[in-house]
Amino acid sequence: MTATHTPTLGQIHALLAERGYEVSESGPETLRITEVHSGISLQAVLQGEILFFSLTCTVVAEEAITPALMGQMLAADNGIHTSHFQLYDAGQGKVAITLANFCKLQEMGPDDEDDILSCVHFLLVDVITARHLLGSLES
Amino acid sequence: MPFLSDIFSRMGRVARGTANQGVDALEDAHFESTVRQTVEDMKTELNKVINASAMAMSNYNRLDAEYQKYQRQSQEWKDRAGVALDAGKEDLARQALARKQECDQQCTSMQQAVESARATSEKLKGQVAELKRKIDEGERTATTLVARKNAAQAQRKVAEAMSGVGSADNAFSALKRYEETVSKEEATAQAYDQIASTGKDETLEAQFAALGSHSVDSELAALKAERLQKANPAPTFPPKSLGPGDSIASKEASGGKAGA
Repeated sequence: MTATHTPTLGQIHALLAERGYEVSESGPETLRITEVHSGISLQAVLQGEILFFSLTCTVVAEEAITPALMGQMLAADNGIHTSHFQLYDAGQGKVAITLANFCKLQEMGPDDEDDILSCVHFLLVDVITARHLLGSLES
Repeated sequence: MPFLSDIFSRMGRVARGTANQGVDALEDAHFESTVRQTVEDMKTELNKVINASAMAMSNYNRLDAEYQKYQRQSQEWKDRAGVALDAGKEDLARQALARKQECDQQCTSMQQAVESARATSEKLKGQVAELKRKIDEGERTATTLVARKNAAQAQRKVAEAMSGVGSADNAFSALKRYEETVSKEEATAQAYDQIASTGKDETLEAQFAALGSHSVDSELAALKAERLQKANPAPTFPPKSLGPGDSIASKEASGGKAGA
């Protein structure tokens, strides 16, 4: 196990801002990233060398999460290939349906930069598919 | 090797803890340093085994060299005994064989030690190889465990943030708003087109339109006249052929009727 230089949140912030995203540090080791044209936001949490991305698709009542809906979210051919659905308790009987993916960073070289930008891009593309998939939930 | 079994039982406990207790078991603040320290301990142990192995190999090499030396000497004394016999010097041959026996005795007494040193050396070499393999495996396991722990912690932070997420704070709503904005912009652009077209001076347009149509009418009339002239060209008569009472006008009239 070689000692590595742990990437910092500032480096990731600078990278994304340089690429045209609106970025703010919303908490410890947490970035809020907004695609400025559509206004879609996602958050990135840096933990060690792991950068975890999460995008909230929608927030619905618990009852809306039916087996049929779960089946759609888990189906291998649902069109979402570069991220995965996760459900979070949003409180007050609500559930947040999110899309998530992550990358493992090393020395913040070109490969890491590509990984970060790809993860963000994948989520922004997958959310379009997710909206079609879960269109019935949209209020 | 008790040390190794202890290391791997610790690693095993961590892995089992992860599997059985989920995220909570991974939240030990010293987890990463513990895992990395375990691998460092293994590397220290490896260095010790490598040193022991090197000493054992050195010991074996020394003993084996000495053993080989006595074997060579035994052969040499045997050869000399043969030479002495050939020369008819049996006493000398006997002395040579006595020396050979001394060498053989040394070989016999050393044989077990040499074999033991060889076995020890081979065993330690095997242990070095096995320990290196386990360190590689341990490093991979440690890296994976640390990555999983970090991913689990990151996910927990997301979960904490989600507890306060509002119904409107989501991507589907943003996309809907975005679509509405685009629709509004399209509608606005259409409205601007309509406004631009309704602001024109219709009287002026009509006058220009009339001018345009007048121009076409004139052009049509001119074209008709031109074609008529080509179809009925004006006749030319030489002055000599004119008879009495004839006139150019009467000739034109009769020719015109005939041709009609």
